[in-house]
Amino acid sequence: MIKVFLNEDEIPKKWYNLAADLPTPMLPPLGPDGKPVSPDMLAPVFPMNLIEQEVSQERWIDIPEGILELLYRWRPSPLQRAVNLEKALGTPARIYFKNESLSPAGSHKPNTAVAQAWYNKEFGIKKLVTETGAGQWGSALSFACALLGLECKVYMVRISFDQKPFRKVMMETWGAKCIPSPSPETKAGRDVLEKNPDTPGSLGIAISEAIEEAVTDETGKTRYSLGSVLNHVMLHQTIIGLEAKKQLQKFGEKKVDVVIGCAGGGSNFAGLSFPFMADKINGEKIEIIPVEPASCPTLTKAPFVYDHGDIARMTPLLPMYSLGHSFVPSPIHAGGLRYHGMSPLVSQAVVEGLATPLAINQLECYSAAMLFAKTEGIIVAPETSHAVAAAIRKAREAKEEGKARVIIFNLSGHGLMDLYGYDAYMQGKLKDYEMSKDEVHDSLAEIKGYPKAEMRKTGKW
Amino acid sequence: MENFDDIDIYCKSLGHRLNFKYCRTMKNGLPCHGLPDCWFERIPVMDFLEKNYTADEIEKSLAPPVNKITSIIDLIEKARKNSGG
Repeated sequence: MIKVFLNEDEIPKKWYNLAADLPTPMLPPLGPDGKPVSPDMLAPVFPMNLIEQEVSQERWIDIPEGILELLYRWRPSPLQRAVNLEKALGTPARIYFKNESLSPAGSHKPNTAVAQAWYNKEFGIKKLVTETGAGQWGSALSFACALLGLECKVYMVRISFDQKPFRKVMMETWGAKCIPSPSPETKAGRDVLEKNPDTPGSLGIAISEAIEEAVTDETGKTRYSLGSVLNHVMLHQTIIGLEAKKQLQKFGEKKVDVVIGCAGGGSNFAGLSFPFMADKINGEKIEIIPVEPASCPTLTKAPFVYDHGDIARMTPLLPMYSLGHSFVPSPIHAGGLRYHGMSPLVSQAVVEGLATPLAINQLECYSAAMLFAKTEGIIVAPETSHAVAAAIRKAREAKEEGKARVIIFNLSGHGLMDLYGYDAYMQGKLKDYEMSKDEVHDSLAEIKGYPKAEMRKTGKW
Repeated sequence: MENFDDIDIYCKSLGHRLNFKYCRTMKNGLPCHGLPDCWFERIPVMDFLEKNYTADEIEKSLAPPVNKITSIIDLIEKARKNSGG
């Protein structure tokens, strides 16, 4: 048996909320004044039903039937065994991957885009705004809004808007309005354009425009949507791991040894791993690995601090791993892994020892992705290649030890719209970059003044 | 100033390739704060900065990015004022 599908009536009916089971409670998000942010303060940006999820301590949260009906368009996604990769490696390990690249937008992002759009519509919201760089998140939200008949507006960084015309076309095909940022439509945009009419824009400006539009809409019918980092985003993604657990049972697997996901803002890692983390909390021995680029060592080298969730400092302060709000990583080819900070829930799981992060250089990642493409046929997204590389490492370890380990990783997206990295790799143009201790030290100097988060852990793992 | 403009690089923040011209102009005409991190292995980046910008401009460029519209809380307050609340 190579792959397992679930029937629609087998789809999980609840999301799993790790916050309920973390042995140490989550630290509250802080505002610029250092005081905890209350739900009401977030209301102009997010609908209250999502804010309730953001702060919920309930272990299981019902997935409304309306959302399930939307998810059925591509879910449950298949769990596939990478038998040809196993053969190529000569490993006794059994390698499984959850194929999230089959969503209409080509990644795991629609899992939360659809849920967020549905909750906003339930709350009476008519329009969602967001920002995007190359367009992955903008595409996912555009798709979700199309399904629900919501207006969608995406502020796309002007240089990306000019260079990624197909992403813009995707968004517009789904009915979204995609405009280059900075735009004359917001004060943030106008201020920038006034100073420099030819500016190519930046992600920071685009976020500022999106949030300004949500907050200043006098009808109160516009909200902002974020595709990563926040707790409710992680929650919506747990359907990935919950489906995978059922599918592993159908494969006849009784125990999983290694769970792997690439870690940018944390949502695709969280989606697969959190349901397995619940088993680990309850005594199972599972190695859970968030994989990050060696040149962007958010989890593996940085201390646990309070930092801003975005470059423009527009989101509340959250407890997370971070190299500082101005940190710009080395030029590696993994566009989705761009958050300098990590999801607070993932951060706390790492602090507790429930997850053990791993950093891998881009050359190893591309080598792994090439092998995966040649054996399994799927060209994975550059960020997904980190998970593939980690799975291959673990399979080789299993071969050395002669152990038939069960390894599962999240194939979070395809790379068919991001082939420049593959081209550069094949032409020998890529180099590996790894921050030195001195560089990390310098990067951390700028966040010296921020309040430090307490390292709270039970020491159990 | 334009010597390196056509050299391209993959921008991890945006998720696609772009050239040096973007990196040196993206911050209201001033360089991105990440210029040294991204380019130090490819061009004499500090030398480039010192030759083409004042000390004040360099400091402004390499400083942590300041938000264009303060913070989300400020925006919420502004929205309330705008709506008369």
